[in-house]
Amino acid sequence: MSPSKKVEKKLRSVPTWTFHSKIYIIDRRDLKRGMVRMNIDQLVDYIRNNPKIMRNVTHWKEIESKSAQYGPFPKNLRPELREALKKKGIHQLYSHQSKSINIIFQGKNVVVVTPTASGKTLCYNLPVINEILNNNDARALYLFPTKALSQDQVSELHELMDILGQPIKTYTYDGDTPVSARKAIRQAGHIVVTNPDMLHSGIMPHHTKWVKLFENLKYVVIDEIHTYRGVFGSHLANVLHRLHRICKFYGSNPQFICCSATIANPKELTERIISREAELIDENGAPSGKKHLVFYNPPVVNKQLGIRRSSILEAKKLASDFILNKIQTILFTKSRLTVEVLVTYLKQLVQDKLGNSGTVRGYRGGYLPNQRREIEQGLRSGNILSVVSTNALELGIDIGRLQVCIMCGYPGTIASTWQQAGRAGRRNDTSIAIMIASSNTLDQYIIQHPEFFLESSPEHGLINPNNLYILMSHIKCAAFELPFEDGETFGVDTLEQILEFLEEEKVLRHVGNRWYWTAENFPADAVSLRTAANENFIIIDISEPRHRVIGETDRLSAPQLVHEEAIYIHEGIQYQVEKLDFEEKKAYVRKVDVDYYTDASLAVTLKVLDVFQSADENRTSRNWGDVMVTSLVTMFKKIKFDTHENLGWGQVHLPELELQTTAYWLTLNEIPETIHSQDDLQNGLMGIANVLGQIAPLYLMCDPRDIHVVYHVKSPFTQKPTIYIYDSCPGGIGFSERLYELHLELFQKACEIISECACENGCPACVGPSAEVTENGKQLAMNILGGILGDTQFEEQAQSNVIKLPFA
Amino acid sequence: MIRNLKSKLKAMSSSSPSLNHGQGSAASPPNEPGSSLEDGIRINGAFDYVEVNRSREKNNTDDSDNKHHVKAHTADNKIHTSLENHIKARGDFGGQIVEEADGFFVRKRTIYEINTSYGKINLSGLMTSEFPNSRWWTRLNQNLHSRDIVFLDTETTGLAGGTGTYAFLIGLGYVTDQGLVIEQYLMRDFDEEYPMLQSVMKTLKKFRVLITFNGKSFDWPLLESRLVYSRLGTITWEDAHLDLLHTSRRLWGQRLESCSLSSIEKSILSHVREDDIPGSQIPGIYFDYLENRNPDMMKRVIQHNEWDIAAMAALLLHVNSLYQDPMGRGDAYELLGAAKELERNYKIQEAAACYQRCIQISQKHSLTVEAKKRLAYLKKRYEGPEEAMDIWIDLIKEEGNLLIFPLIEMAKYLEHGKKDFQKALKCTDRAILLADARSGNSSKLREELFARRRRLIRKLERSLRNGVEGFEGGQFSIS
Repeated sequence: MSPSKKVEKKLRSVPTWTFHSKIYIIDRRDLKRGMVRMNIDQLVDYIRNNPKIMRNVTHWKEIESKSAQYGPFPKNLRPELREALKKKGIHQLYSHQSKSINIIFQGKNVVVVTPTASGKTLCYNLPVINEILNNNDARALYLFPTKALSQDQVSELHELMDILGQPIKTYTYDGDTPVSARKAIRQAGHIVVTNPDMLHSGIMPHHTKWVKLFENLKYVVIDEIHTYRGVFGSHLANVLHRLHRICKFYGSNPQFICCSATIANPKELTERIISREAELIDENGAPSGKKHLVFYNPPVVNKQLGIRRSSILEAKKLASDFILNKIQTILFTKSRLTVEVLVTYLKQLVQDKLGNSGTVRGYRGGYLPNQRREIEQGLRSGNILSVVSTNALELGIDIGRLQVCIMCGYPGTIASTWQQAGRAGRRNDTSIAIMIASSNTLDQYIIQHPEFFLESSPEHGLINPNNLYILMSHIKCAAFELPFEDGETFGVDTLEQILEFLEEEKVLRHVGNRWYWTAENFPADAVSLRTAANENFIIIDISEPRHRVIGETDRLSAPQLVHEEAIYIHEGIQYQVEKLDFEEKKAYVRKVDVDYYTDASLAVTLKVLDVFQSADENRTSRNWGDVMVTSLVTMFKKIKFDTHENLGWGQVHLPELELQTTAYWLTLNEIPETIHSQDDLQNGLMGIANVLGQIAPLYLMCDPRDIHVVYHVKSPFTQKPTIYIYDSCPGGIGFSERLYELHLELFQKACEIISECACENGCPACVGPSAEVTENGKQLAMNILGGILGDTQFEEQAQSNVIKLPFA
Repeated sequence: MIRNLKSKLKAMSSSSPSLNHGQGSAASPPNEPGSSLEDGIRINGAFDYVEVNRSREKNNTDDSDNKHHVKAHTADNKIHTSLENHIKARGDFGGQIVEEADGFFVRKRTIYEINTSYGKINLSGLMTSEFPNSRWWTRLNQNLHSRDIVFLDTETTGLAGGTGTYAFLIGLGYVTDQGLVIEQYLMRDFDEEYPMLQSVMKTLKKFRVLITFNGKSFDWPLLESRLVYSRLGTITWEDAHLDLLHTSRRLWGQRLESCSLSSIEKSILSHVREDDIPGSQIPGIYFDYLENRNPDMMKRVIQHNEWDIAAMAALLLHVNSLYQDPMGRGDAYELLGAAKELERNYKIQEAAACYQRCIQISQKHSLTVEAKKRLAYLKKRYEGPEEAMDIWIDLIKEEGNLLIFPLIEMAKYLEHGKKDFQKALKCTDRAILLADARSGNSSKLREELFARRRRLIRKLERSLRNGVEGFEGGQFSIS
């Protein structure tokens, strides 16, 4: 019996209350004592019939259950492999597994799109193992976006190998692999499991040590390929260009097997990343139980200010019903901070008389690997009842299948939402996913237009492998690995120009018909595939005489998260930062027990370095170019738990962080007549910036965090009021170019949203709370937009109430 | 996109510090040697190489029976012209230009004749065919034969490793009747790498033992990577690779601040290089040479490489003589290092003698203590615990009773050997006192000591109950 079934049985064995009437009266004390218990179906009914909850529900969607569809075992699959599957309890393959294996056997590249936990790993493990059984020299390379996923995979592979009883060697090769083991892996590993970063800086620059692998490489498996969007994806496409060159050098031509969650363009994204054609398999043969998707908008608590009840507090309330009924629940929040706040609340709920509250856990980046493994294990075994996570658990880490998912805030994209909702849902059981909106524009738009969410296709995975920074970095790495030959291509037709440029820079040298690397350094070290900041800060607990590392955080977040006097919350325990050693990248924290948390504010300055393109128009000018953005944390606020009132503030003294990137900016040629003072201008621009920051991702199909909006009342560069939108990624990922094309369309959309918003003077869902943008903030923003768009366009927009969003 | 590319690239380079290496942004356009020789050529260096090397080439018999096609470019006019062009285009190194089937490169041959000295070392020692007893310290599986040995040292375009780092100068040294022959292979541009490596590989394959300095972690893996890249196969040396850096660390690691070849040369071989180039500048010099084709600085790199190889040969002789007669030649540090190495190879008598000599002549206290400690452990292992007792007692007394390990060793012997639990207990108690006084995290040590103490008390009680002889009325006396 599988652990999850055991849990189910255990949970069912508690006598449940049978309700005859549709009106439920539950005494929470009884629930807490375990006297009464409802099962998931009863709870769904209970919620549906509870008017207090239902009046906040804007939409309730039921997705019917689906039975399994099977396909035959592919003919070429070796009998011993089929036997091993039977021993594992797999007697039939789902249709998508059968189909993809057949296509792989035809020698084609594939991309398999199926939801989480539908058995997609067999789609690649079976053909790979089959090939190695046929030919013991064959090699395969597995790429996972995170170390955690690769660990998970290797243990699953080992399990299959044990049953199979064949000496097929599978190893993870990443930063944690001991140096002593590396030589053996290079020589003998049949399946090398790693991540793109390690392939980039640890394997390919040393390809002569990996001759066995590259000469015999048959399959490259790329799981979770949808995560390679934006910067990461653009890097990966280039890394794979390099892989193709090396394979060609050693005479191999591997096949690619990719897996993706549901996105709008899995085939296109895969083909751009691997620069090969790929066959799409998107039918899903795995069974699923009935599923409820609930849209929940917290009630308005202050109509003037347009403030709604906090989504965290609503999540706490909704989750407690499930948790007290001992139903496994996962909660997703959007930041590390909210994870900890919510864990603190929920731990209070389940605390027993001895103060143990281990059945509720947090999970986020910054927890140490062992701790994460323990939590994953606890979820699978059922010992952990509830987990609060950032999107870290969105990926395919095996945590078993839970019954309830509560999303605290719209996850930002349609694809992520389905991915997170998919964490709840067992094969034969009902499951429920509840999305609670926060006050921001995007959330409010989605929650009030659920049909938009349900009817649109998920986002496109966009990459720009030709981002000059990214391309250039990888051309250097590629030249280091193997000299370029004349006439070679690297995904762009301008390769020769770039090589010539690099020769001028004395990085390359053209001799004979080749371009050789002529620098002392190791170019891969200077390139991080994810963000600019790859140096982590570690967080050390000094409460006990024996100091202990409890977590880590990346360089960019450190000033906000662990500045001195900050309250750092880890696993629901509060720590105060006593000392931040910026040079050594260490934060020393001590346990405290206070009733507030801290929130640091960021001051950003922006300087234009270069203008790539600019056009002067009647009222405005549009531009795109290079900018330097410096960010500085200057102060923090202390915010009381529960009431969220401001208890005070403190100063932060830390160095600035610099980011060079590309930006789009709009300059107003004249200040509109309707704006009378500097303050009005300031408040109006602030309102517009707020809307733009939330609406631009809809056009760019990116995460809101991928771009930032900054405004200048009088820009030092243009001497005029200016609004900038810049890429968060160094060098830019192409967003600003796209915004330059959109230009006024963006402001028309902003205008629509503000005029359509039901609030009086501004709210977090449009220009921002009126407390920030002053009482006539909404009007001021509209006045400025009038100045930008001109009368005719402006009036057209102001009259039309139809919102068209840019989804195909 | 294409129209903007140049300006974008410019914009990037002005802000990206990692793009530039070396100095000088306004460099002359690089020549394209080999393909076009008519413009942009600078002639540097004198045209004087042919005579010198031709005579050497004639004298050398090794190459004439070489199956591979190596030509000295003297006779054929046509080849002579291409040779001149080569010198014009790529500078003159006072070496012979070699043409392999796939192209050219430069090889310079220098002979250190039989009676040459390097520092205080006379190289004639190399003429002995076998180095007796050398397997006791080289960790090779047999004694060294001088004609089996090839010395290797490379100069590279960087220290980072990886497939984009090139070995542009490969120095090999081997012994012939004439003396120590140093052959240096230079690629004057990247297109000469393949023919150069071909030739290096041919030479390397003639020898059975590779000797390097830091070659186990640097020179050989790098060269191997180049060979694999060029598909020239590789050589598996396994145990037949002697890294003199490791040997030197054992002998002088404690005494010298740095175990670099130059510092060993200075303090051990008494050789001072005049006008030597610091290793860190070498990649930059090569890149400059590729740009301006001025061989002057490169000649100094070649000299540096030659010295490195000669120094390795001298070092080998010195180390060998030291091991032949450590008692006569070694100082206290060398004796300790030699003794450890000998002990490791089960030359117990010799090792014990070296330790003893080290103790005699050592001026430094910590050195004496370590030698005594090692000697005692050696005696304990090979002659029985009783033999080591004198030294333990000596150490305890001499040291003002601050060392813990001799007390433990004494306690062990007293407990298990002499069954004198009382004295063993006394030793253990003293060790516990010392362990307590010592600050820091020796909790594991203390646990062990307490476990010993409990066991001793148990044994003591039992022996007292059984009325075992040897204890006078329960009085505890320690001599």
